[in-house]
Amino acid sequence: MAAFGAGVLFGMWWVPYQKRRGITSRDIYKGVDGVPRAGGLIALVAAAVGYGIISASVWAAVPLLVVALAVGLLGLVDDLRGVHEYARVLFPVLLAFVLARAVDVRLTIPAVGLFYGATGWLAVLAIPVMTNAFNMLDPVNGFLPAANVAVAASLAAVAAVRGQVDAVYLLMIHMAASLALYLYNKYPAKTFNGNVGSYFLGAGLSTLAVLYDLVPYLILAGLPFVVNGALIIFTSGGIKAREKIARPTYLRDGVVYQDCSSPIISLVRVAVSDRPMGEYDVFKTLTVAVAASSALTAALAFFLRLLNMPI
Amino acid sequence: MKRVLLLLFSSYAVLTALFVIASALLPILRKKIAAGFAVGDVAIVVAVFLYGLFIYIAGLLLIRASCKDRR
Repeated sequence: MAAFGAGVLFGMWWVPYQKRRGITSRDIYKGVDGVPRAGGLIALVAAAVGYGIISASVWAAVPLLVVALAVGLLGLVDDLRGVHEYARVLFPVLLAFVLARAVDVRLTIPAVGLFYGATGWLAVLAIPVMTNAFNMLDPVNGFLPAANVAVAASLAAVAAVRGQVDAVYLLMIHMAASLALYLYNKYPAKTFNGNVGSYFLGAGLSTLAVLYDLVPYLILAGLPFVVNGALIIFTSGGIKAREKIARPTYLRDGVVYQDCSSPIISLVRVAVSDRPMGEYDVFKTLTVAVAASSALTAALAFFLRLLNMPI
Repeated sequence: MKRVLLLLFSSYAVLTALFVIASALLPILRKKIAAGFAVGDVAIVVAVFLYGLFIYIAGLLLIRASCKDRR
């Protein structure tokens, strides 16, 4: 409640402040200029308040706050001044390896268990991978915070099945922060999330997953992000900055069409390949996809518990 | 929405199938190769690449079919 309240109150100041300072960009779907572009700071402030309060009793809140805050602030600098694409990718990688040195990292695979190999080191790569995957799929108003609520709820259900009470509390803070951001980013958006939003939410959720050995469940619940990232990386020939990748869709009279001449494939292109869609229909399609993968993942954990298999 | 859900559910099914295969091969995956590395560590890297390739091919087939429909 404190995290949500802090986020909502901060947003009341931050949204008009961005407008006054010209931290804005164009909403291409609605043809409106002057929309604040770094609203993700609302989620960062909300979560920082929540993690700060709970850190007295839950130790994992401290490394979680440090990593998510550092990556989120990188996103903010990117929104305000621009950051080189290698810095965007390598900074989260560096933080991930620092985290792997600082805490005991494990990777339990659903239904499989542990290999007792070096897979713990692979688990930390979820931080740069998911942070960039979240950044790659933030196409329409409201989707990113709504998706974060669904994925975090799914992970909270898995953690509850495992008896990881601390993880449930931290995931509830993540949900509260995402909901506070959603209030300002929902259609029609008062502010965009910006890189600060996608980086902070991606780093926060993936660091939590690393700390509580939930990485495979994060990949399953957030599968639309993984699928979108894989499609873009395979079709664009590697990791490139979002603005350097030609859009595989085009906009006409507020409706999104797929561009059949483009070699790039994204999840939005797959969505509009059924039929051209308006912004709100794209939001609904992507949100249904994330809700479905999140619900399946929570159900998978219950199923594995019923079968007495490794969760 | 149909194509997105088709791609999503097929990707989900393939990933969970990989988990089931891995659980059957667990004794092999736990065999140590060298310096703390197990067969499973190599298998997971190969599986990630193959899984990405599956998503790419599935996406490509869906897009090709839709562009063909429109010609």
